[in-house]
Amino acid sequence: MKAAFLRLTFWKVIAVAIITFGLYSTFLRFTQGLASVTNLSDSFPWGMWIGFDILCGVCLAAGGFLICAITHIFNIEEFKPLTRSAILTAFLGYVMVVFALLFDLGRPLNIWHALIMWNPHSVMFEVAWCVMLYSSVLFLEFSPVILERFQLTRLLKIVKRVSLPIMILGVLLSTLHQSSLGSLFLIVPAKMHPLWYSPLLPVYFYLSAIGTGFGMIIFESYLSARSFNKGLEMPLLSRIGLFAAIFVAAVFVIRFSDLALTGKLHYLLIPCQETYMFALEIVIGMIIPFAILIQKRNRQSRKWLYFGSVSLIVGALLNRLNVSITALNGFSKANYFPSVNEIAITMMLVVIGMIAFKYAVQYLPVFAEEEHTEVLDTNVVVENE
Amino acid sequence: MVALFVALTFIIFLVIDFFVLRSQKKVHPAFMPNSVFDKSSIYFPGKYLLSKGHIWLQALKNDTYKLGLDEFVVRAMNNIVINTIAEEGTKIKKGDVLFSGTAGGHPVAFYAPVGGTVSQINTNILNKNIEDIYNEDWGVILQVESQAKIQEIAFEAVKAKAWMQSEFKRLKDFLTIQTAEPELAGLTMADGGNIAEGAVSMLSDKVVAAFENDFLKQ
Repeated sequence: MKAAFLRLTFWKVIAVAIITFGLYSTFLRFTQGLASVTNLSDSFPWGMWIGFDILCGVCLAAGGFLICAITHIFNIEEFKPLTRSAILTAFLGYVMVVFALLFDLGRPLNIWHALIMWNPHSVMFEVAWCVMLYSSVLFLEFSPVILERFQLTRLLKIVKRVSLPIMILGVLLSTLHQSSLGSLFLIVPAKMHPLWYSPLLPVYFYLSAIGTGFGMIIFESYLSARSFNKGLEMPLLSRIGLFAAIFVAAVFVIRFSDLALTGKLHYLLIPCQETYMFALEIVIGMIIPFAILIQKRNRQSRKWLYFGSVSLIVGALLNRLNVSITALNGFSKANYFPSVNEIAITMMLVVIGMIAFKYAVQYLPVFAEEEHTEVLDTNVVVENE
Repeated sequence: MVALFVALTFIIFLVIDFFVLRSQKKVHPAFMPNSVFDKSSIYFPGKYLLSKGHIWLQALKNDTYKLGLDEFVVRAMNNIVINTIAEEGTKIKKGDVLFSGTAGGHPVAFYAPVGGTVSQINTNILNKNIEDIYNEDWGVILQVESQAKIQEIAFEAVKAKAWMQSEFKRLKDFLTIQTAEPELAGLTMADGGNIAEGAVSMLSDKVVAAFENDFLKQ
């Protein structure tokens, strides 16, 4: 009974505390403006909300488009059991990105301007449209789960009929979006530390999002196993781990080739905060996960596969925050660190996303993969235990 | 510093969660022994077929099928080493031995779900543990006698997975009957929990033979 009490309350208490403080910070943000709750300034206008909520959020949501590409474009159907939860994670991730944008925009009520005031020469214009369109596409990709839940079979059939073009559109938009977030930083070559600035930033963002997306699929499976007493599809996750290792190796090779060809390797020998952070990012985000996941024995081990995925995610967090904050801190001399309110709002969004995931899994057939759909199609009645 | 702060916060939350689970006397899925399986973790690929003798079939072309052992039987027996495979070019009937070898040192045989001619065998699986169940560790390619027979003996993927889950329950019953030492069979079997991987081959030759009779012969 005591254990049950602890299980029921520990994370709930933490979640309530985070949300309460987050709501208080939200109130301050929308009543007193950005300056009252953030440490942002004219010399450092993009902080944690852009770096974590948007760049990291989008990167970690990459699992959705990857699994769609694998199962619906490359037609490797055996990965279908992972599809719905990956799409749900991506959808919630993007919804949180949109909410985070509302916090960060100086005039959030003008967020709709991108719809009619087009500026096709701006990378932000592409980002805005990709976020809007891909969030809609993710909703459509996830909609069969909702339609099944409420047994709206006619609508379900229509959605299923258009599911392939939707999936392809989703992969296309996500590709554009992941890379265009890297393109955002191409406009500040003189302000970024050379270890991170490269004309290939869009390519790095895209390829690293793929590696991280695979890591996120694995990590999300463990979270689901932990929270919903669900088994792990180890044969599938093990293969996903191999894909992640391949992409991490590709990014590593391209990145260091780029540094060598552009004569930037000597920056690695300069003892400063940027060098240490770069080294940490490479070791945690590339070398460790590659060393773990390239070995079949490790990929078949629950423990090592988990460590590999955590390492990929931590590496992605370090990379995106290094690009958006560490690499710019030196030039701006702002020495930015987020305020307590910024942190509270970010944590609140993460907690809300996790709660939404929990309830979606609880009330929708997220882990039933395509079974329900196929049962409806074929009228085969399968008696599950 | 912001990057370090965020990364450390993430790791700290994971560590706290580990200790919270520990205080609840639970184990994080990452630290569960690999040697436990339950019905929810059983996986079967789409487009594959499954026979009641736990042999999967993957349609190739011209009435040919690739055959191998399913995850259920590999995890129930564990350490399955195939020593002999039906020879290439031989005609086999339904119920003939397709592969034979050992499971945890006990002799075991697997049977053809359908008759046909063995057109190719995978010698890479000989004398090593079956690991990559639905991909590299396939057993034979069989030109079947009759396509219609396949429809009779095999489940398609959705039904196959549900059937394997029902086999899980049958395995629990089997182990309870077969052993006077139920702790060998499972960690939490009494309350409907998991079965230790390889539970069947932890027992005697006699139990493995009974498993072969009950689960592998159709």
